[in-house]
Amino acid sequence: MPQLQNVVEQIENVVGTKYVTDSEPICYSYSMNCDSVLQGIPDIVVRPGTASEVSEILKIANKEKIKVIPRGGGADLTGGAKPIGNGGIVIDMTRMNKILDIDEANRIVTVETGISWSELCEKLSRVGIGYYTGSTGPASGFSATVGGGLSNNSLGGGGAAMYGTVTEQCVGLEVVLPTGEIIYTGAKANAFCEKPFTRFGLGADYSGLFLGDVGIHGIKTKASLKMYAIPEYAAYSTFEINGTKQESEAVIATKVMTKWQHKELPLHDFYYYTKTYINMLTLFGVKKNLANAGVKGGVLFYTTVADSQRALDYNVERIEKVTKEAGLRKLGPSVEEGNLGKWFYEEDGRWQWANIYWGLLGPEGTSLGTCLKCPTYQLPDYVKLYQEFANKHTKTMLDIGGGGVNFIVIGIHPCYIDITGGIMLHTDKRYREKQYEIWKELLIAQIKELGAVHYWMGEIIGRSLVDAGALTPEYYNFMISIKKALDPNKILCPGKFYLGDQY
Amino acid sequence: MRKVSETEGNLTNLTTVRSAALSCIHCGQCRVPHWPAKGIYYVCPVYKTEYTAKFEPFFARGKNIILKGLIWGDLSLNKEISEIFYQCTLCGGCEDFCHNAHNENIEFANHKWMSMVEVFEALRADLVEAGFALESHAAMNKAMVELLNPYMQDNKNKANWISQLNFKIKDANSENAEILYFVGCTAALTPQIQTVAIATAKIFNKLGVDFSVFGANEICCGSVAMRTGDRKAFNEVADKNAKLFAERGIKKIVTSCAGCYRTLKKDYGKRLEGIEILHTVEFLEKYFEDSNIALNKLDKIVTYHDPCHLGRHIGLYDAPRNIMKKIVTLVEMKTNREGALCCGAGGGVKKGFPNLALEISKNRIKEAEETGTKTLVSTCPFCFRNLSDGIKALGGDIEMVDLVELILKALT
Repeated sequence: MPQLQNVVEQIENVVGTKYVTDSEPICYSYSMNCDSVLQGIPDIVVRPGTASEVSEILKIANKEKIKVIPRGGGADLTGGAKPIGNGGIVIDMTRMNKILDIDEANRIVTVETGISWSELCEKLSRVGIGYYTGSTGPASGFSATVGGGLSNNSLGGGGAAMYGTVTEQCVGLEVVLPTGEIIYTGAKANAFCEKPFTRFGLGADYSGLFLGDVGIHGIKTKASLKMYAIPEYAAYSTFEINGTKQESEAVIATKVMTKWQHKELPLHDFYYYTKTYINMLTLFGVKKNLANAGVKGGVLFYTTVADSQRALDYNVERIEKVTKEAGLRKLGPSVEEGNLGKWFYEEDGRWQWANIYWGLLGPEGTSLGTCLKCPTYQLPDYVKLYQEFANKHTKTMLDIGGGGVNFIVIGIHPCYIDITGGIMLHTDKRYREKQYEIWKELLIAQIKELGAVHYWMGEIIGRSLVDAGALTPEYYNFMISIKKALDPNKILCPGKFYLGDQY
Repeated sequence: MRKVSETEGNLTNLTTVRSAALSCIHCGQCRVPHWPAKGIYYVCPVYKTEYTAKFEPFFARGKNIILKGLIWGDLSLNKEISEIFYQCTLCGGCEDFCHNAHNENIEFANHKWMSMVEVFEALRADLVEAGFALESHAAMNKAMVELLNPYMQDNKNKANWISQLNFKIKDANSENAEILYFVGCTAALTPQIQTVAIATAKIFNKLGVDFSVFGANEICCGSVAMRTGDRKAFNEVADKNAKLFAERGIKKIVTSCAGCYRTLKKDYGKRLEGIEILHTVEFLEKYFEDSNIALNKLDKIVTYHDPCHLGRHIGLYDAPRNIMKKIVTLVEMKTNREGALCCGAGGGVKKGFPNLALEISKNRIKEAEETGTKTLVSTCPFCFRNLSDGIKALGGDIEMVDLVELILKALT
């Protein structure tokens, strides 16, 4: 890196000496996300406090031709929040964590993007009649920031079946462009507009340019999100699904989920845990309640909300008519009787559920994420793909201290699903190349064989998309053109989308 | 902050907990979780302050990634790593919340791989052995070994509080008793906290408990050395204590200090096999239950601070509350029990980074003030000391008391 000390001093002049460091152990601590396969150690880490400071840092980076990587909660699974290769400046956005405006009239909250989803929702819950963001961020929302969730097009923290992904809740952004200019998108692009209230108008959907972009187009410093009143009434039930000779468990689950979606039933959430996954949970004693309830098959649970008991009862009746017709066994109403829906909504916090994956493999275990979105009807095809992958690679995975592959399904509004899963492996540094190879092979299989849409756009996803030939030359060139126009010096997140060697 | 030159060091202690040290999956939920259903609004007391710049290593995940770097050979022990790891109170908040650690709170019964306190202490031991102990800690531990207390005082002063009693208590050096009251260095040597020792002795006397104290011959339990990684110093005093207890035929130890309690109960291991270790509140709760002694209800509304060494480290949450229910009106703080904010003193922070300890303490005092009560109760002299500093720094009018002081009043 050119004149590291000089660059540090320039950044110190912007943020003060306290908030910038080139300390080796501190920089090392920013070299990984949730996986420990992808690693890149930055030269400098900085924690700016304002959009202007971010702007000044980017101007320095442009002048010195140093790569910059913005980072939120660092909770992503595919290398989105760490440098590709060593070097560069990581901008830790978590110091910018204020709630700037709660507009109850327009039901819009405006925040600095370094706030976590859990902190935001907890604080909103104590305002007025009590609010939340509907789709409440990724499953890592205890840690993940609003900026990270928007950059990764996330979901999983609850509410997705009713509200979709978090990006759908965004009505406007403040963005620092790679060259340092600060712009507003959405209604606030009109300098005379008092408060953000809609994402559209004033040209194309330029907010969209920065949503799901894994930070390559600009650094989001403020975001305006829709907010909703916390529902007064909620109900939840859990069902066991057992496959038959005629219909596999996945086929039955697909039918139920599709009916729920096509009938537009008021589901706040629904989740499907496969039989294999349930077997792991019960085997390892993670979910003793399911074992006690005698659950042998897969599990499907839902949550629904309403503003009156009568409306809630009506919701439940309509939702459970579908499960009854499918012949699913309803588990008891309490958590002890296996009601994962109640656990998820009342106890789990709606963010923690994914973490029961972690550690199943024991100490040093990790999960290499393969989460994707697909039409609901494709679920049985993905089951087959995962089975084939497992058959092919189980021995290799065991040889390098691995476990297996598995997933959970999350319902998304209006009629598609998230197959959220991964490969369980030990974080043995000796096998990093092999781990990377296996991981990428599964991602490419998902992309090529079933047209998967991997909404997290970190290092390995971008490479898999490009290497799979999934992006048409025209689309690829279109992406490069936009990137080139925004980031002429190629300093922001190079390699994250693998747009050729230079971007 | 600048890079400093590296020096190689061995990881003898860290290696013994290698699996635990590698078990963090970097989810980062130990940074700023807000989980009202579980009463969790923070995890790391250090990260909650603005004392550090809040880079990753100033909460658990960043430290865990550094541990991986050390184990994988990417990093070496050095002074800077020492500074990072000592800016941690070892409160165990991160461990209690971590889904890969011991965490009955979120029902992942099998996920007991992580143990932040154990792992961070192991690294501290390696840092000390590699010559990277903080100077302030080294001096404190040296005094502890040589003077038998870490306050650099003549150990004779430990008997000063006894002269304030108007009754005689047994000398454990020469007299046998059913219980040894282990006073602890903080309560014995800090004049404004001697009330803890005095109140405890008065309660025992009032109840007719047969107890003794070592007075000027009481040896530090070694907590400060254990927490700051000086295992040689710890072993030295622990062995001395174990020998002394054995020689004097001690069968039951009661202490009013959460730090001593944790150390004697957990860190001494087999040294104290056959000796029952109790915290005063634990002893008194059972005593009151068994004896039907009438306690007066005081006209007092209080809030309670769970000491980390009593709560998260041991799991003793109900005993103090059960006693308080009988004698005062308790209003819980926003964070309590497993989710309680640390007072900021532990893990050598008070000695090594007094301003950080003060900032954490101020945050805890603000929580106490939010309850609207005027009395803050604790069951640890070290928490008492640091929280008192926080009250003073904030200029508040909240009164700091130990639970034994209230119990004494309720017995009068």
